[in-house]
Amino acid sequence: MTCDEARARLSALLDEALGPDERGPLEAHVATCVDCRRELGLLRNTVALLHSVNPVRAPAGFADRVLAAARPAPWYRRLQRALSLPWSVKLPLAAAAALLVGVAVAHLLEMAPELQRAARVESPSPAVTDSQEPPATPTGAPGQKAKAESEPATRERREGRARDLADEATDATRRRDLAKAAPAPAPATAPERKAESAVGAAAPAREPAREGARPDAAASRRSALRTAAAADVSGRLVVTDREAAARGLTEFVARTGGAEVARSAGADAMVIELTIPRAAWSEFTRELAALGAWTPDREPAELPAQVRVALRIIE
Amino acid sequence: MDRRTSDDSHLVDRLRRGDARAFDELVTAYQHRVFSVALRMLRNRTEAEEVAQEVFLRVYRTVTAFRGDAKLSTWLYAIASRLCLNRLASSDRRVTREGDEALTRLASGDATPVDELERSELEATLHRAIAELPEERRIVVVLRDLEGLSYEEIAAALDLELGTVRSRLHRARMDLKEKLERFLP
Repeated sequence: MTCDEARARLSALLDEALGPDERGPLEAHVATCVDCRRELGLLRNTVALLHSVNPVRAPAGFADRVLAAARPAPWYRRLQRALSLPWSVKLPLAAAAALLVGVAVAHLLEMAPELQRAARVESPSPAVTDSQEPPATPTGAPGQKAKAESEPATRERREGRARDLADEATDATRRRDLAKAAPAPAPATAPERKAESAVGAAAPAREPAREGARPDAAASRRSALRTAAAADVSGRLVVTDREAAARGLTEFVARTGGAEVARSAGADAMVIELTIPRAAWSEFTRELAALGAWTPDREPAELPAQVRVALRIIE
Repeated sequence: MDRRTSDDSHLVDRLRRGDARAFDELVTAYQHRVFSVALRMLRNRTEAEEVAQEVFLRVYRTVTAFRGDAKLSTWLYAIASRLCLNRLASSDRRVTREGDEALTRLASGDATPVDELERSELEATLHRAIAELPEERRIVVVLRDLEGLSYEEIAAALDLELGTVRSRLHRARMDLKEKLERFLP
């Protein structure tokens, strides 16, 4: 082995990265060559100096900044990225989707008079009127079935608004399944899950006509429905300042020996559940009238000793 | 399979499943090593942080495509090396390189003032010597002598033949030996 051949392998010798066929002759050469042995020593010390370099540490807060940058975008942004198509494709698709949603909503409302009534009572919208032209149905049968099924829903209206809406939603879901006008939720086996999914499915169906389908609004309405179902009295209180009204109610409850059972606030309504002593009931209705426009949905003739009230406070 | 490789393999599985804590653990475990490579190569802290962050974001986005036939650390070093070399090759790179003193300040110990002075002189010379190496030799010596990768890992990370890794490393060390001669016993 020549000195040049030996020196080209000295680094690998230090790193024990040579096979026995290379290492043997190299070690034999180094043992006999003073210059190569000296070279190997210098190289060994150079590597030792390199190994002595203090490690670098990432700046403080670096990991947090990386984690913040990697935090997943909201689902609609990810969807937007996934669907990033050229405008020439996107615009017609968007137009078609909008048209389809409009037709589906109009079709659903046409088939369900109860939903139309609910939409008018809660928040009238120019998009939903009696004069709206019904869209063509895929077959005649679903429309007839819808009319037939609306009767039980009408009968049950007397039993409370919350129950009404849940039943209407169930009917609406069933009708939609038949008409194939919109995707239906997967069937659930447990009865309570079924009711929940029916209410959940009905809310988005009504939303586009009234408020542009805000998920939090739908959630708050579902919460209101559940609360109203358990209450003796339920209704809407339309006020100019939701927070002020809530404070007024809290003070009233404290003054009359009532109690606040639950409270939840959504984008469109705050739902407060209270118990009021029957003795203070007439004073409570005056208080409600003072706070805003009170529209009871349910108020039995006979009140229990502690009246459970579910209020949906809307600005 | 050693413990670290086994842990890394488990970490990769969790990353693939979208486990948010797994990514947190990955960044915590590898942030210093990835940043170190970026700083040694780019010699600018801001730029090094940008590149190191991009390394982790790429891992986050592409972990499902990671085949797992290389170690997780090798994959991270591969991404870091490629991003650094690309940036160095970029014609519109206009960042200011920080002085070697600034790089020396990165490392601080508990040495006495005299030791510190000698140490800082040595460190400054070392950093300057490493920084002056051609990029393709510098990345090999950084991965081998500062980060402790094996020849095989370097070959995998840089997509080079083993013989090329060996010769580049040897040339890099010979360059450094000349520049560090006065510190050698």
